[in-house]
Amino acid sequence: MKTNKVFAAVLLILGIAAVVLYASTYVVEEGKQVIVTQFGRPVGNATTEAGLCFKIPFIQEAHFLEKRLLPWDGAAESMQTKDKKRIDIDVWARWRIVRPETFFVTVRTEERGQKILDDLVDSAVRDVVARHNLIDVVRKSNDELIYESEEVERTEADQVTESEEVERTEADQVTGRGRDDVEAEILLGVDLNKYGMELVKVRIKRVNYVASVRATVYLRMISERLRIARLYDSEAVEEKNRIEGKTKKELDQIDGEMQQKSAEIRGDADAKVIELTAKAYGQSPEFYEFLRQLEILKKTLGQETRLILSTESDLFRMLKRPVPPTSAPESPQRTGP
Amino acid sequence: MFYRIDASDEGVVLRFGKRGEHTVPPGLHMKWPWPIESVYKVPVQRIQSLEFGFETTLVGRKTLYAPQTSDDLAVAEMLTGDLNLGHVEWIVQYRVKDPINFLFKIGSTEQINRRSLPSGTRSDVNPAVPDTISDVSESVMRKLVGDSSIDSVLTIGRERLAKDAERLIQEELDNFEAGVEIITVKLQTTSPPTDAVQDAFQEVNRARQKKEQVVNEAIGERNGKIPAARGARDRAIAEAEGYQNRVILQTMGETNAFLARLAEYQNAPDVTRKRLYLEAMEEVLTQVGRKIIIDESVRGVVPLLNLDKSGPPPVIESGGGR
Repeated sequence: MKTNKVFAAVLLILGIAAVVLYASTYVVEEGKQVIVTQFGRPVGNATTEAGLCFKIPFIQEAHFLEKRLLPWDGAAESMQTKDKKRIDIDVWARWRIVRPETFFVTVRTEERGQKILDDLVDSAVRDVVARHNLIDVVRKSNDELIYESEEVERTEADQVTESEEVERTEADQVTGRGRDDVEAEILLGVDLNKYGMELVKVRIKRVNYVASVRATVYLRMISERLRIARLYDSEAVEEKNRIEGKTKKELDQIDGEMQQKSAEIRGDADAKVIELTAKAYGQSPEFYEFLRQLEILKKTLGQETRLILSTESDLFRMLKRPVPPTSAPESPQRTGP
Repeated sequence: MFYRIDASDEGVVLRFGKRGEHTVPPGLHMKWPWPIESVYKVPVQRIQSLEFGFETTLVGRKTLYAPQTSDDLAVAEMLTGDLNLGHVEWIVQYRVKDPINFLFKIGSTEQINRRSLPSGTRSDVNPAVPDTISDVSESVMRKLVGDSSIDSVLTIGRERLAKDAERLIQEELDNFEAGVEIITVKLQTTSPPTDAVQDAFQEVNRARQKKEQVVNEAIGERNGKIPAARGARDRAIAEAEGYQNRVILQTMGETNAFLARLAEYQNAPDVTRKRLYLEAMEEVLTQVGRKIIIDESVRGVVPLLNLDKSGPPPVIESGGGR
């Protein structure tokens, strides 16, 4: 009975001791920092080192804050650029609590810190975007864009009109480092000093045309592609015609060479023939004529020929008179055996 | 109290929230019970993967992908440097490089005010880190695509894009001391934003192919004609040359023959001439089919035949019918 009481008392004391011990200590984990408050008012500096710490039990209270980098992700907001283009823009940021004492008084919790960022970053983004052309938000340099084929660029050059909303601003060059500058300006535009917070980084996550404009962008892309396709189509015909023309030209050339060469060679041959014959037959045109006449007679008179001859002719005189006294006047020769 | 660190993990032990100097290698270890000591098990060997613009639902022999949601599309659709829209899907693989930085440099507001995390194994020990990798890689990818032409994004620049992305994501994460190493960034599908636009791109490909085809055909036709024509030309020239040789030789033969005859003829012109004449007449009269020899005294029989001026000499009439 007595031992029971003693046991109970010891248990009670131990219990109380445990509760007191628990209430008078707090564990600061790596990556955390702690503000101790007394009746709601912060006491001393924040504990930023990890480890076991002590406080006055029940009177003092420990508040845990993140020391690590914290994420912030804004919602996609629709806004207008300097060149009057409506875009949806979605940014993220990373921030941390740098002066927990200030933070605890002015903001108190991380959730409310996020809320402050919602307000400040969003308006900074709007300010900065309104100062920049769309191209600054999209690009980060003026480097030449590389295309698969020069055709694309060529047709890019003779581009004249575009739908108004998505008008191509080739003339609009990127100012400075474009997107990198935009992000840096947003970062500068958000002053978190009085909240004990630090904005470490702001990045544009997504940029896009607003939905209604996207549809026209698709149409433009389609028309752009079709334009290039048409170019290929007509280039095909162009190339084909060129090749065919060249082929025709070469064929004609070859044909001409053929005509020329063979005519020349034949003419040459004929000239040589004329030269040779003139030289030979010129030695006795009369004899040549005589021989040729005989040949012609041989050739022209044949089986089908009917010949009526007179007995007065040189040849057949002998049929009537056996003696040949005189020659016929017409033929240059005389008969006689 | 015993605890085990798996082969692919490393442990980080916290004593009253304060970390030890070194990480704990795989194996069986001892620690004080909570709340004195607790341990984080960080999967340092395991390569983890993040998907952008698509979602794998089931990995297996045939991997299944979830149908694309509007959220996936929002991730994948991005502006190119020429203010076109492209659809880019990619993956990022990473590994924990430094477990201590991995745990204690990047936080998230969801974990706040927990005095201590349970020491149980969780595959995602610090979900704030993949979250940050995801944010960083989205902004990096957009920045790179934003400085490329639609052509580079779709075809020629893909490899370069992935390489640059890998480098820039790693740089940014190192700035944040995220304690992770990017293993690789790989572009998956890169395509025009909608089917209609895709078709237009295909149309360009078709036209390009068609052009090549037409040009090839034209060259083929040309190849079929030119050599044949050259052959015809050479043939005609050769024929002309043949003609040349032939007629010249022939003429030389004839003229030489004539000259030979002439030389002999000049030795005895009268008798040779007569002989030649008579021989010719003999030949001619032999081969003539019908011969009519008329006496001068009966010439009245053929008055119509008297076409010749030279009255008495022979009248030669060819052709029949009388």
